[in-house]
Amino acid sequence: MFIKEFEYHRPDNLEEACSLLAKLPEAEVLAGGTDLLTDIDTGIRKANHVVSISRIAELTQIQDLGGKIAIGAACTARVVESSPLIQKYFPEIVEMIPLFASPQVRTMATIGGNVCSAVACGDFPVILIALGAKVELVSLNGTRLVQLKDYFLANRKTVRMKGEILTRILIPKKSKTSASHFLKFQRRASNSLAVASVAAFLDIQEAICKEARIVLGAVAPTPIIAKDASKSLLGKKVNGQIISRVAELARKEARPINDVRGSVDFRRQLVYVLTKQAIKQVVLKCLPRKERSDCTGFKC
Amino acid sequence: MILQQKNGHNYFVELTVNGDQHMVLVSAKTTLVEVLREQLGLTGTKLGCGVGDCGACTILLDGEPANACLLLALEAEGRDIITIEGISTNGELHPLQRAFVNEGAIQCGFCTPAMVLTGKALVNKNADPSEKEVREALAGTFCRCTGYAKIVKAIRNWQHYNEMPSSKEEGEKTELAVVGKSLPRKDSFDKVTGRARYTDDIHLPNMLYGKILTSPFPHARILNIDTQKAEVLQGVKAILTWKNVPDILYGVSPARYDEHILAKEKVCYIGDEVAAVAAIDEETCQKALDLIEVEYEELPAVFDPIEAMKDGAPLILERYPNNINTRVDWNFGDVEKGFEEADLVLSDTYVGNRTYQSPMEPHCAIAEWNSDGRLTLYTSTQVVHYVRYQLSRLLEMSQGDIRVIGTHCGGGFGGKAEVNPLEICAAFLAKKTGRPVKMRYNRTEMFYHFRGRHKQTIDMKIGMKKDGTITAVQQKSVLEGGAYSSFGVIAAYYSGAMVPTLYKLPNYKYDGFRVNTNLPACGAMRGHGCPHPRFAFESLLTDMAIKLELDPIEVRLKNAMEPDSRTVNDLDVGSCELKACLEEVRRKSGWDEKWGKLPFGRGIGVGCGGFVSGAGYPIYRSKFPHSNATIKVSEDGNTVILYTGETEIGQGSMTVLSQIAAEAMGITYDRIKVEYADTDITPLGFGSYSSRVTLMGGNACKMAGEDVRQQLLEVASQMINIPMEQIKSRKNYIYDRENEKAGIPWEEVAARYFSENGPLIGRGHYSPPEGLGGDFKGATVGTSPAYSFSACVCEVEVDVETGKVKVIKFTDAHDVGTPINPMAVEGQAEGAIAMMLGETLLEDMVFDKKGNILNPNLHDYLLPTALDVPPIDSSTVESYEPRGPFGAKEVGEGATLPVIGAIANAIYDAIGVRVKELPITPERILKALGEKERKECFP
Ligand SMILES: Cc1cc2nc3c(=O)[nH]c(=O)nc-3n(C[C@@H](O)[C@@H](O)[C@H](O)COP(=O)(O)OP(=O)(O)OC[C@H]3O[C@@H](n4cnc5c(N)ncnc54)[C@H](O)[C@@H]3O)c2cc1C
Ligand code: FES
Ligand code: FES
Repeated sequence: MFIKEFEYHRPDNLEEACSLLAKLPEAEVLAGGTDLLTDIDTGIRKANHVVSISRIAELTQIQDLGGKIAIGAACTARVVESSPLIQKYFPEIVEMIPLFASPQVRTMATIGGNVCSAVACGDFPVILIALGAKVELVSLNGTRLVQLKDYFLANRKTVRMKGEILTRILIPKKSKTSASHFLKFQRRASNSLAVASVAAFLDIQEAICKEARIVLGAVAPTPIIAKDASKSLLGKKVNGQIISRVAELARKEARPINDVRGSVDFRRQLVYVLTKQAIKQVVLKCLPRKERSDCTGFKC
Repeated sequence: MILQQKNGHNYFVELTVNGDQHMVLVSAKTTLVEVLREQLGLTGTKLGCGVGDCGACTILLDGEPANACLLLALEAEGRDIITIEGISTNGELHPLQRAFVNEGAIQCGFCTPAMVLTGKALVNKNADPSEKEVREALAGTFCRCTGYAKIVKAIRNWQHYNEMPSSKEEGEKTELAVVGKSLPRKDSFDKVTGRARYTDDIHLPNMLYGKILTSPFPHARILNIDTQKAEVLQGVKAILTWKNVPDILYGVSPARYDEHILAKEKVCYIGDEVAAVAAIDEETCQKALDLIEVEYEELPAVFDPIEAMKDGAPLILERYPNNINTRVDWNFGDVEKGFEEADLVLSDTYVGNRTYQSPMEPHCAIAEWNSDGRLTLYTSTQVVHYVRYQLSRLLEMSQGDIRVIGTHCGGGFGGKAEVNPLEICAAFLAKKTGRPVKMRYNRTEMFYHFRGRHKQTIDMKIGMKKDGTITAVQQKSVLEGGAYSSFGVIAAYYSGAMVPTLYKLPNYKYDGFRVNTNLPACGAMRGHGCPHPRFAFESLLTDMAIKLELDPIEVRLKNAMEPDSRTVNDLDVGSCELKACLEEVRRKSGWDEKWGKLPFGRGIGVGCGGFVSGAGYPIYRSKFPHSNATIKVSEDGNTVILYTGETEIGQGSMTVLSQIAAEAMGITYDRIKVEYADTDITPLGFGSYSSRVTLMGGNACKMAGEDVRQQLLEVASQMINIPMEQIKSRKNYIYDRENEKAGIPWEEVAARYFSENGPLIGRGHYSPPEGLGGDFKGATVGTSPAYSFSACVCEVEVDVETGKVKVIKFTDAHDVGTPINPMAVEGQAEGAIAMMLGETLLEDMVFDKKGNILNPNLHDYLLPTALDVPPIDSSTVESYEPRGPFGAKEVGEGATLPVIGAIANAIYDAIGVRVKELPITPERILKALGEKERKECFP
C-alpha cells in the first residue's frame, strides 16, 4: 500500500476526539482500520488526519441500561462475541460473529466501524436493524439518536455528518415472545463476504405474529427492511405456507446487482431461501416447544 | 509514549514485541508488518497480500491473532505483540512447533508462522480443541500446500509433543533404513521458527527497489514513452524501456520465444510490461511510474479464442496466423472404425475456466552485480537453471557468470517455473545502477503476471461396448492462452497426450488449438493441461456407465491400463497399479453400499488420474543429464553434504533426496545435509516441474550416494580385511554381511579415506532412457520414464435450493511406486485435493469486457479455507517402479487429476444433473436444475 501521508491523533476522551474532528480538515475516524487503510489506499476515502478512537474508554464498553444494551462503537467483534451481556441477551449476535470476516480480522474490526463503513455487504447492520437498534452520534454540537434502519443512505453514505462520532449502539432487549436469527450465504465455508444475507425478527404471541422485521443484506445499496414481507406476517399464524409467501415477497423486494459474487437472479433466489430458513429458525427459537407443532409445513 | 517529530508525519513509538521493548521511528501510515519485517528484522511474519485476506502476516495481539498488515504501528503501542520468533525459547521448540515438524504440517512454510500462532492462541484457551474448533481458528489463513489436514492434526495432537518424540528411523525393522520412513522435513526447524529466509526476507546493503509499469490497455500500439519527469524525481536511480534493453525475445520453448523484455511496438494485454524503475524505495518507484507518460494508440482486442481464430480478427502477434499459437493434429488407430464397433457413443462439451496457482508467497527477486562483473540473483523459483539460461541469453553473457540462488520458496505450482519479468528487470536495473535491486509483486500484480491454467473448451466423444469396453475416443481442445506462449505449446500437447494413459484406448484422435488472446499469458499449472480433459473424460465415462447400467468403478477397472503397456500414442507405461487404486478406494469409501443408493441431494463419485514422473525431454535441446548431484563427505566423516541443482518449493524434495542419498550411502538421516538450487555450487538440475524431482533427482542422488559408498567400501575392505562384495553399509556402520559384529563405524572409514586420498566426493547424474516416445510431431510430450496412477472417491451433499455443494469426504489411493517418505506423499495428495476442490467449486478468474481482471485479490478469487476442506483418507498401494530410485515415482501433480471428475460425478449422483463448466458454482447448479425441470415439464 502506498497511501498518502497523514497525521495521527489519538485522543483519550470523547470531547477531545470531537474537537479534533471538528477542527481538522479531511479527518477520518480510525477504529480497527480493517476498512479504512485499504479505503485510503484505493482512494475511496481521503484523509489528511486520522483520529484513533481505540483508546477512548467509553467507546469500548458494553453496558446494561435496563431496557436496552449499549455496545460501545469501538468494541471489536471479538469483544462483542465474548461479552457475557451479549451472550445473555443477544445470542443471535454471538451466532453471527463466526460468519463475519476471519478470526484475525475479528480481533481488530469494530462493530461501529462496520456500521460506519456502510458497505452493502456488511454483516452487523443486518442483524442490528432486525433487532431494532439505534445508534448514538456525538459531536461538538451535541448528541443525537438515529434508528439504524434510517441511518444508511446509499452505498458508503450515511446520515452521519462531518464531525460526528458513532459512540454507541443501543439495542432494546427482546420480550420473552420474540427472537431473531441471521443467515448469510457466502461462497466458501468461511471468511468471505455475503452474496446475500437475511435477518429475521419476530414477536410471536399465542402463535400469532405481532411484530416482524425481515432485513436483507448485500442485495441493495444498503441493508433494507423487506417491508411487504415483514407486514404480511403481522396478525398471522406462522406456518409453512405463510413463510413461503413472505419469502416470495422478500425476493421481490430485493434490489440486487450483478457482480463477481453473484448475479441478480441468484441473489433473489438466495433471499427467498434465506428468508424462509431464517423465519423457521426464529419460530423455533421463540415458540414454546408445545406450540411448535402448530407451525405446519416444516419440521420443528 | 508517542513522540511526534517536527514534520508532523513521523513519530517515535515504543512497541513491545516478544517481550522486548523497541523504540522505532515510523510514519503515521506505517503498518506493523513493515516495522516487524523491515525495522526489527523479524521476517518470520510474512507478507502475502497486504490487505487482510491471506493471514500470512498473523501476529498475536494481546494473545489474539491479528493481521499485522492492517494494523498501524502507532495503534500497536502499549499492546503485547508476539511473533513467530517469540514462540520457541532458547532455541527449543514449543511442543506445538514440534507437533508441526513431526506431523508433516509444513510444506513451503510460508503459512507456517501464522498457523503456529493461531494454533497457539487457540490452545492457550482450549488445550484440547475439537477438529471443528481448530478449523474455525485456522479459517483466516490460507495454506496452498497442505490441504490443512496435517496442520489440523498437529494442533489437535500438540500435547503429545510435550516430550521430545523418538526418531522415526528407529521403529520397525525394515530392509531399507531411511527410505520409506515418514521422517520430518530437513527444513522444518527453520520454517516453524520463522528463520527460513524467503527472497523478500533478504535485505542487501545499499539495496534499491524496482517496479514495473504495465499497460492499461489490452491491445495498443506504443507511440511514445516519455520518462523525463520520472527521471528527475528525487530518489529515482534508473529507468528502463525497450530502448535501453537488448532487443532479444524470450519465453519458454525456443521455437516460441515471443516476449520482449519490455514492450517494444505494442502491448498485448492489460499488465504487459512497458517500463521499469529503480529507486530508493517502492513508494518512490510507484510515484515515478505514475510520472512516465506513455502514448498509446488503442487497437481492437480479442478475448474469446473462437473469435480470435476467425479471419479478420485482430492479430495479436504476426507470427501466429489466426492467433493459433499451436495446432495439434493427432490420429492414432482408426476412430471411425472404433465408433462403429461401439454399442454406445456419447459426446459432450466441457469447459474449464482459468485458475491461478496462487502460491502464498508473492514472486520476488534480488539482483546484485559483483565487482568481477558477475551477477548474483536471489529468487523464488522452481527452476534456477532455466532462469540462468534465459538471463544469459538476455544479458548476452555466459551462464557461468550468472549465479542464480533459489531461496526458500513459498509455493510455485507451475507459476514460478519460468523466468519472470522481476528477475530480468532486476538484473538490468542492478547493472545500470551498480546497486542491488529488489523487485516483488503484490497480490494483484501476481494475478496480472498470471501464467496460470489455460481455459479449455473440450469436445469429448467416447465409444463403448455394452460390457463397458472403450472402443474409441475423440477429443478436441481449444486452449485460450492469453497474449504470449509461455508453456502453452506444451499445455496444448499435454491436453491430448495424457488422455490415453489411464485406460486402454485402442483408437484416439485429438485436435488441439492453443489460441492467443489479449489477456495475461497462461502457463503451466499443476497437472499441466491435463485436469480439464480429465474432468471431461471422467464425467463422460460415468455418464456412459450409467446409461449402460454398469458400475462406474467396474467400467474403469475393465479399461484400466496394465503394467508394461504401450499406449496408443506410443508412451511406455512401466509399473501401473491403477486397478489396485480403484479397488482400494472402492473398499475404503464404502462405494458398494453407497453408489446409487444415497438419498436425493447426497452423492458419491469416482475419478482417476495419473501423470508423468518427469518430462522425457528438456525444454530446450541439450544433451545434459537432466539431474545431477554431488556429495561431499566431511573430513571427520560425520557429516555429509548433498549438492543438488533441483529446487525445494515446499513439496519436500530436499527431504526425499536426502533420504535417497543417505540410504544409498548407508548413513542415517541426521548425518546428511543438503545444499540446493545455487548454480555456483550445485550441479545442474532441471528443477521442480513435470513432477520430475523424486525420480530424476532421486536417481542422480542415489548414484552419487552409491559412488561414495563404493569408494568407502574399498577402504573398508582393506581395514577389516573382508572382500568388497561381502561388505554392507547401513546406518553408519560398515560390516561383514555374514557377521554383523565384524565392522567399523562409517565415519572412521570416511576419515581414513580422507587421510589417504583427500576429499571424498560422490557424483551422480540421470538422463531419461533414450528414444522415449513415437516419431510423430509432438511425440516427445507425455514421454516419461514412469507414470503415476491414482483414484479418488468423493462424497458430497448438495443444497438444491441454493446450489451449494458441501464436500463430505475424500478417499484416494495412489500408485507412486515406493513412497520414499509416506508422510510427504500424503501431504502432496492432501494438498492436491484441496487445490482441486478449490478449482472445481470456487476458483475462477473473471474478466470484464475490456480484459481487466475483476477479482485479482484473495477475497474474490476464492481459495478454499480450512473449513472448506473435508477429511481426506489418503493411501498408497503396493507398487515398485524399476526406473525410479528404490522403486519410486511421482505424486505431486498426478494427485490433482482424479479430483475434479470425482467431485463432478458425485454432484451428478446427488442431483441428477451435470454441470459441464468449471467451477461448478451454486449458480450453475441451479441453472442446470432449472433446465432439467423445464425439460421434464415440457418434454
Ligand atoms: C479480510 C477481511 C474480511 C472481511 N470480511 C467481512 C465480512 O465477512 N463481513 C463484513 O461485514 N465485513 C467484513 N470485512 C470488513 C470489516 O472488517 C469492516 O467493515 C470492519 O467492521 C470495520 O471496522 P473497523 O473497526 O476496522 O473500521 P475502520 O476501518 O477503522 O473504519 C471504517 C470506516 O468507518 C469509520 N468509522 C469507524 N468507526 C467510527 C466511529 N465510531 N464513528 C464514526 N466513524 C467511524 C472510519 O472513519 C472509516 O471510514 C472484512 C474485512 C477484511 C479485511
Ligand atoms: S499479508 Fe496480511 S493478511 Fe495477507
Ligand atoms: S505450507 Fe501452507 S502455504 Fe505452503
